[in-house]
Amino acid sequence: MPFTERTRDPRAYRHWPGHVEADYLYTSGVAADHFFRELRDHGRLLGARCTKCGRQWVPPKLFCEECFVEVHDWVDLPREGRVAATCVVRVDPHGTPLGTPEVWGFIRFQGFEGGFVHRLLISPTRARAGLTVRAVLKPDGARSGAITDIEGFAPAGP
Amino acid sequence: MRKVAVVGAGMTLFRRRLQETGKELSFEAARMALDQARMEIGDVDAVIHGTAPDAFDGVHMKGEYLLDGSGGRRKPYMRVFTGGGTGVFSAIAGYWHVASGLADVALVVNEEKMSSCQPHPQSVFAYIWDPILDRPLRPNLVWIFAMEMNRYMTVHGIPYEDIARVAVKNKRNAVGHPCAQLPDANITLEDVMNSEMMAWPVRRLDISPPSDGAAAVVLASEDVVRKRRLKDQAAWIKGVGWCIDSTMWTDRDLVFPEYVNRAAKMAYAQAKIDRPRKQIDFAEPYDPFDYKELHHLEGLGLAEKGKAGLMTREGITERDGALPVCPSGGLLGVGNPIAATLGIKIGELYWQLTGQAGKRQIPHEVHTGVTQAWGDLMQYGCVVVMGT
Repeated sequence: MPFTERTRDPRAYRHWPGHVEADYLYTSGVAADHFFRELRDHGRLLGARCTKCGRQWVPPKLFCEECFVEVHDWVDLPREGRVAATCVVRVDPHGTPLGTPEVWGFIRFQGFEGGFVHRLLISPTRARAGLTVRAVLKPDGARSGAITDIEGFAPAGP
Repeated sequence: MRKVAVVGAGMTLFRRRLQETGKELSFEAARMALDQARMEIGDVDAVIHGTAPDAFDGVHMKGEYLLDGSGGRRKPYMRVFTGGGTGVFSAIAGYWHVASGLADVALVVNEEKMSSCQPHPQSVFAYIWDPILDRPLRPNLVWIFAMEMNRYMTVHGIPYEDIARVAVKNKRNAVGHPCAQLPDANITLEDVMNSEMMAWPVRRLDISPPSDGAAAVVLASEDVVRKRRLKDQAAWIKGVGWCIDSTMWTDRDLVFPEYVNRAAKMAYAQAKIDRPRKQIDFAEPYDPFDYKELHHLEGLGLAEKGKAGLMTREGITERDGALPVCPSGGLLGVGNPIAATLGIKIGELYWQLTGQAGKRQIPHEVHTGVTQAWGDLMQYGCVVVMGT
């Protein structure tokens, strides 16, 4: 992690270690609240459809980014999506090698704007764009209504 | 430079908005402003977003996070931030876009969701201080304001009652505001004076409440106003000014807000105002604390130094007085979701000048108003003069 240091040892100077403490409560908002409840209670993945332009957004949002009008129509996502891009992560943010590489993908759904960036439940050698995948959800009762209710995306079919 | 008008404004309810995201609040206000301007997002050439510290919403780089809710997607977009000053400064940034000719229509959207920060947004203010000189002493913003207020009172011999009257006036004025958080038709001077002592001489009711909300305005060029027949709902920006003082609060004049005065002179020069008290009909100065309204009236040249409290006592700054001040109800009455105070400041000037202020409408005719916000590390002032 080179800064191409001029100095590195703080003991040469008067110095104070710093710490920023901040706690938050985040809510998912009007549109995503419905999305997460349906995911938790019924294992459904929903998008939102703009009645003005017909664009469908996933994850759903309260407004259409294109028309800038309120959106309140819900539509089911197709069971299968397609991997648009992948990467295989081999070191963590601190530069430490990962024992098992992580496979990540950007998954899109036909007819929908947006998509998910999520884990691909496959070996690194199989990671490629164009792969057809299906969401793997945590079992009924184990879902809390969060993005982590989706364990990842696995190849569809045999 | 081209002439620029405000042709629409929107504002959400100011409350703890636990349910909605900042994006959703931004959308609500932006959509209202567009509807009033009879425009769609496709008519907007540029979007300016104003929002205060990322530490409130708890999303780093929140200008980028909020841009879809603000209509900024695939447009020239920028986020501006001058702390509390953002409430007026974002409109100045919008003004540059249209006055310069780079945009014909600019949408300005300000958002703040302070309640995300737990247990209280005040906690993250701990990190605005110099990490070596101030932070080890664990200062609190209220202490600093208390010292500034005390210095102002001491030098001019201002009685506390004259300051507390500002809180009474503004909380009463807020009664007619549909977005207001702390309107109180029956509040008395005694209520303010007897409210909890926070850091002497500052009592609880001297301070505006934290809040969540959003506000937006649509700015348009003269051509757009003419072509879209928006003249009857247009209020014109006549002058803009801004100025910042030293980083260190110990290096500033605590008695007179020099930064506001310089910003005002810049705006007045553009607006051709040389006798502000005679040429300005009403004012919306920044009032996060009651003494700051007085401080700012003096910085704006609307009161002689040390005399703004007397003007308040004499009723001159009441809504039906000779110089109505904060007819909106101000931050003290409507609430203080930092950047979203755009709706109380620029928004109120717009609604008053176009006769759309409803129950808050100043009973006599007004043609010129001035608004001002204060922010950054308590040393920043920005001023906008608007007229019919």
